[in-house]
Amino acid sequence: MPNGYHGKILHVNLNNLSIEVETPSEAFYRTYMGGSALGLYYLLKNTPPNADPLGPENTLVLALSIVTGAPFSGQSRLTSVAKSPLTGAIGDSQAGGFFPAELKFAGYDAIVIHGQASEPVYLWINNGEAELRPANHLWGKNTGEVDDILKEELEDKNIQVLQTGVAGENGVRFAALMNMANRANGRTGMGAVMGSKNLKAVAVRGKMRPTIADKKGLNKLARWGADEFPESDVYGLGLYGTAEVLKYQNKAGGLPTNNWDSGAFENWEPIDGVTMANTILKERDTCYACTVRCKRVVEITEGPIKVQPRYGGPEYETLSTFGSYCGVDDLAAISYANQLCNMFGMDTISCGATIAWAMDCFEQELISTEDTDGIELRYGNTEAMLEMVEKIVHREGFGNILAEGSAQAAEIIGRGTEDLVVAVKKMELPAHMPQVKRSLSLIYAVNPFGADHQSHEHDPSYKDYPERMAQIGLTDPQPNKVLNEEKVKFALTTQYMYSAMDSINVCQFVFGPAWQLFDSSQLVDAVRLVTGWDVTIDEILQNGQRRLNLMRAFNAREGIGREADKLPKKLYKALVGGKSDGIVLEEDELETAKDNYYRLAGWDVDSGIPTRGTLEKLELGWVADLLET
Amino acid sequence: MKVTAHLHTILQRHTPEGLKGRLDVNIQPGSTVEDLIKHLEIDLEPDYLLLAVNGRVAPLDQVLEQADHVNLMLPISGG
Repeated sequence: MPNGYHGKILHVNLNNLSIEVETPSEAFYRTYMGGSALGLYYLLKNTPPNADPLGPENTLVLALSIVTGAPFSGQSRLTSVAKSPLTGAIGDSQAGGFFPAELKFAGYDAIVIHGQASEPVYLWINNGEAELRPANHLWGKNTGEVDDILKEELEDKNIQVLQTGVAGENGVRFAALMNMANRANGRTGMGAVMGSKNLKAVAVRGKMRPTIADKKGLNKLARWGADEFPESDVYGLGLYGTAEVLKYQNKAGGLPTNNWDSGAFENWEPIDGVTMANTILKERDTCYACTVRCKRVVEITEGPIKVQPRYGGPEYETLSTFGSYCGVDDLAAISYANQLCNMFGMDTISCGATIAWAMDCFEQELISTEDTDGIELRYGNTEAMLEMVEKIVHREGFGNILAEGSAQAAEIIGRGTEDLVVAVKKMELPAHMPQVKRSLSLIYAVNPFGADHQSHEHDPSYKDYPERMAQIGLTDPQPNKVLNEEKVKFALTTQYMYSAMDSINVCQFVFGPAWQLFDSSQLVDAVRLVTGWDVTIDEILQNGQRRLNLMRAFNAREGIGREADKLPKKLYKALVGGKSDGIVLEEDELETAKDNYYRLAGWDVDSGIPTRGTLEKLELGWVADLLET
Repeated sequence: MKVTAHLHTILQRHTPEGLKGRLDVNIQPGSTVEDLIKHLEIDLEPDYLLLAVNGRVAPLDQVLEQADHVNLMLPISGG
């Protein structure tokens, strides 16, 4: 009997509405561990190259890990993997909440969804029993309504629901998967994939808790975390949420403003985390068994804009993409945009950033009111921004074009709007600026699923946390604004660590190599205590390397390699204003860093594709075979 | 009067005494959070810090009371 997991993968074939259970070996679980790596295994095995991301050949994997549901902070995470309809490359996204732990208690480690149903259905898993049920009555409903209906219909208020929203039904390419109606697998359009399959929701409930190898040891680790939390660097996250960083980013010239023209937003204060905490914050929410409680719940009952607490509250990214990116300083409007995204299931980063790109196009007169259904889509126009969010959800008018994401929208419109897109591999950049944290330029460029801020450790941590960095072999701290060979090593090594955390499915605020509550060695401890396996930090890092190679291999099969590892033109233009005024990235610096990065990763330098030798070292010879067929 | 200051990791490197996480500090009655930061000789602008008093969000000009616990933090660098 395994510890920490069930050894059961649920396969759901929507073509013929059949359900099967697979029971992989312990060796399989130890190799992939769960989450993203496990999802990639099934995606590569089941989806042929060049499949339509919104067609029946795409495979959507919802994966937990070997530790999900165990009683310690930061483990209740769900990874979704499929080919991305936004990028055409690998799609991959994580979310927390109570759904992940409850799916484990319902008896499964992952759900692999094949095919496409002819009519809307939902999947109900109750203590190991899985069935598909009609979902016509849920189609077109917002996430809060679906949550309520399913809890009433299944006669249990404690079930957890993962669902695609109206945006996913409508094929918005950055549609999210939502759980609790306020936790999002946001990035890369996984909600659109689920919508295309006519799978509206997955409802779960159960009491099947896997055994823990060393329960006493795990309790001790969990208790250490709870005791240490008030003295830790994530204590502020509990009080202020991720929004704590907004003021600091702005002061450093690293708060993307007006579609990345500047790193300083003059009106930052009304949208800052402190302002939110002192005004509209109703309470702090959490994920299953987590001590940090970083989630915001906001409420606005008076004034022209009302915001309901059940849809949570804006994170730093959302405050930036709907705020500074769009030149908007209205916290109520941003909170309402956040509510709309959660009600209808959309990624707040891509949605806000795509609107900011359209505003830039409008300001530069590349598009006009003739394109925008008569809307003056200017920076700071709060009403226009909110109107556009709703148009995107329903694919109405100009919203139908923006629902493709900024890169594909620019391809449709042309007229030079392509030059204003701030995306990598067609995915919009999150709100951390490589101009002031230079290793981000490399990771944004090379990351297989597009620009991501949670795929490695940011530059300041190298010098701020030397003891923790040494745990993963990083002992030569570098300044923030350089991208030399040592910084490339820092970027790749911490990318392996973050990559492993997306397979072991732990929260990157709770575990990590720097400021997080638990350090890298404690992640090793957690895996050992839950599973009983004698894992080491090297094995964990290798798991991260394996997942990264699987993603690159998936992209290679789609014809995506080094040529796609590039930054948008706007990042080679000098920033204006604030502390980062005049800073400009150099293309040569990035190309040299890429050479070093591919070499260090064991990939072909010219193509950026993993070599057979590297794949075989990672027990991925079968992937090398796939690339050669 | 005596208050307890909790310095979070990065800040511990910005005090004259170096690595110190938790300090019992004697300050004048009526002192504010800003006065405490000055007293600790932290070599960063007070405006850069995140603040909490007794587990609640607090402004720089909050007046401290005997036995208060004050958390002084810098924001995390990711997220």
